[in-house]
Amino acid sequence: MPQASRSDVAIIGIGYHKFGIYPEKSLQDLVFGAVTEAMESGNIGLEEVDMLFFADATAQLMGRHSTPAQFVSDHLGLAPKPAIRVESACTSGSNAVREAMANIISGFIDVALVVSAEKIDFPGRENVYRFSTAMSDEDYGVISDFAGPGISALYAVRHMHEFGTTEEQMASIAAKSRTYGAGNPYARFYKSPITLEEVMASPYVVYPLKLPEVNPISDGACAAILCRGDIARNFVDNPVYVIGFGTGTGPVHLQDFKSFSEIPGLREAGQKAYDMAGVTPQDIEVFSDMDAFSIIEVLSLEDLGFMEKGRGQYAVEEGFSTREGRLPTNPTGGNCSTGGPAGVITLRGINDMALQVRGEGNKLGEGGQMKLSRGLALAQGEGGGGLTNQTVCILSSEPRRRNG
Amino acid sequence: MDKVSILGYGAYVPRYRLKIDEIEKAWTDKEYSTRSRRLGVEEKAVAGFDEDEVTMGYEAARNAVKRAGIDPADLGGIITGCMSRRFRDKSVSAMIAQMLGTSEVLACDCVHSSKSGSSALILGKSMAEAGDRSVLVIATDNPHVAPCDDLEPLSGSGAVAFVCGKGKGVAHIEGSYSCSREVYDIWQPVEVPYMYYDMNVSRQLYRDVTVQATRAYMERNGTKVDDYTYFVLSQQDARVPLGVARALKIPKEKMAAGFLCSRIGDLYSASALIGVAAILDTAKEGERILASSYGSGGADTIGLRVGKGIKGRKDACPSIEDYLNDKVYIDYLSFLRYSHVI
Amino acid sequence: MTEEYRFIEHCAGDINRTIPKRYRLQGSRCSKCGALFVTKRLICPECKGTDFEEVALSGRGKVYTYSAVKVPLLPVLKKGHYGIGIIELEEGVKAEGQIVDIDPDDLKVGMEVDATIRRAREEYPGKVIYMYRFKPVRR
Repeated sequence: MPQASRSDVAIIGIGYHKFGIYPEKSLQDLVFGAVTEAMESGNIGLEEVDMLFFADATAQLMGRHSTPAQFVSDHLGLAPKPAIRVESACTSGSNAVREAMANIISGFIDVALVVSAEKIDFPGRENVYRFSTAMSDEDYGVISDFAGPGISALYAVRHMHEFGTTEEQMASIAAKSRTYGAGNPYARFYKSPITLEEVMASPYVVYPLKLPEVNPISDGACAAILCRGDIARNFVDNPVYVIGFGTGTGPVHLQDFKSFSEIPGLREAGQKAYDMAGVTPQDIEVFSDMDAFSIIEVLSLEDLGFMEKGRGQYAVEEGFSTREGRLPTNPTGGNCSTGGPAGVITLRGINDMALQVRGEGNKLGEGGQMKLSRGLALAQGEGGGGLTNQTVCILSSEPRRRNG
Repeated sequence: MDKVSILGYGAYVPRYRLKIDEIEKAWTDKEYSTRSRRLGVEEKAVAGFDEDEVTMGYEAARNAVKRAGIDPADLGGIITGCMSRRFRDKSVSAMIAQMLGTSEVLACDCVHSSKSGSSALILGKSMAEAGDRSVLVIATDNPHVAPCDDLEPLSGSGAVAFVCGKGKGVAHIEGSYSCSREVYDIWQPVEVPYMYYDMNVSRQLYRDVTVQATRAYMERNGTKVDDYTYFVLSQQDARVPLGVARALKIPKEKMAAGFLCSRIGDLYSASALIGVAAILDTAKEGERILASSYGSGGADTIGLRVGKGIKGRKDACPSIEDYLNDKVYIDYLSFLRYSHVI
Repeated sequence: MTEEYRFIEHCAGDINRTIPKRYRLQGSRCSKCGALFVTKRLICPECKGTDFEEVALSGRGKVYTYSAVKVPLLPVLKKGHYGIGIIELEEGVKAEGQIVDIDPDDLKVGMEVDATIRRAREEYPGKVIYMYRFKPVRR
């Protein structure tokens, strides 16, 4: 196994606060829960942290306050260490990991605390309204009344038209997510599985997506501690190395998309991550995608090279993406089950994969740990108006191999 | 001055229809509900949730401009007759001008009860005669009627538009007669959301004034009932206008083509004029039309003769019959939602 | 005044500025490379040019993809189900918009549509906002 160097980045601590609805808790309560767990899992104290990266998509939107990072940093007692907020809708969490990576690799800092937390301020529909219209074109898109799930529904209808995807195939992804997530103590739908029949019998939110297939907006928090690769083993025996990271942006306006059969820019972001990590899709052993809407899982399997374009919808029925399959996808519950606090979703995905690589997948439910021979996992995220931001994060139990 | 004719016409009737039976079902204990049935309106046209007098006027205007074959930028004036405008001070004509993409135009609104549309047409025709650019005249209404009101089973929504200009047109305006009087028959003060009315006064005045205005026009222009193939009167309901026609000795067949009230209700400003548009859909060159439009004690009577240009212009846009047949029935609750009452 | 009135999304200046585009589906063509955009652009994403000419679009096109919204957005809570879609216009560009005058369950990819104008919002205080919508071509 190659020796970890100064320019490697490792995740050493992973923490969650269970996703759900917590009207009595403040944002800081959620953060505290996730951070204490991360510190414990990393055998590290807050005094070691050099910088805080706080990711969230809604603090300013909901009209609460600006500089949320500074508020969190103050409450964690981190002052006068630097703190910065990272925002890119649902990819806030994963982009915060990227920012932390960049700061570590460049030598600015040694240890980073990445925290993502969201708190819904408004009940149900108002929350959806404010969040989804904020992602639409401010002058013309908002008054066309495109609901948040509407964007993914447009993808779904096009996929159905071009490749014959059926509603059952998409519903089975939600059912898989909820079944696996029923054992996950951090999931919003912990102990609440659902069958395919129940999904098919649920009311539509936006055709063809039904209620269980649509992102359940929740409160929640996640935390991860990243540090320089060569000091990781001072803290834990099983650091998880971030060996590849690809990001990209796509058009923000739906009308500027060239095609609705692929997530714009995901292929390119994935290729960047694979190149940086020196691996191919065939090497990845476990996969977390951001199934905020069931069709996203179909598209990410295709665009990241795991399945052919136009065949992603067969992943569940062919047993490709189940726990026993070639590529377990969201084996401890995806978004449909854990719930989706906007920016936290993608950090949760990275955390879940990091636990898999560490061999601690059973923390997320009995039978949650997948058998990994090489310890390679991939976490995908997309966010924003036209799914405009993509992140692909590849994790490994070993540092990056460098040639020559 | 060159002769001014109607270069193009267009109309718009929203798709939604409310059967008067549905209104009666909602208010079964009101005795008025059986009276409304005798007034002959079977169903009325209802503007959708996202429609109003401006959007309907725009659709009608677009059709008229297309039929006339002109560029909106060539219009010298846009006059809209509308008595149910949502704004005390904001011009529907200016909004429609912007929607059509023209700005160097005189845009103003004409507000005078149900004869807003016909008055606008007379003014528009004069403006076109005096200048060298065409004038677009629009009549549109989306009436404010209170639930359970007597006007509720009678009032409908819709719009019609005409382009007046010089050149070979679909019809030539032969002349007009106007009279005016100050009355309280249907009126709406600014601070009140719905129209006030006195049905008895209204019906009597409608009869008297329409008869007088029609006779006066024919006297001054030396014409008789026999000279006209078609007659159109503004249609407050589907019974009283037929009585007026009898008083004027107009044969029932001559009223048929322009009589749409039983299928869409009273369109107020657009009431008589949409009848004219329906007639133009089927009329032949040389036939003459006499239209009399009543509103608040006044009336405009306009005479038209169908011209050479009628051939070939008709199919440019959907006909009135197309709009009448494209319909979706809604229930009373949907009607209240679409009208933004609830 | 309904309760949806409380969502103030536009100030008067924004409304005036956006009128031409909201009423008439307009595009802009990059003078340098000829690319056509429906979205208002200041810099061309293809060639980074900064010169554009306004192009009037016909508004006619075919439905490229669609969906039926069964849970309406809050400001239009009482609207009932409506259709949304991406329309591929005659000129080759796509436009996003609501699809009206049809039961959204009847929508199909490839349906022909035409642009019209409908009332989108009424905002405090008394500002009515109109916006283009697409409706199926029937005749």
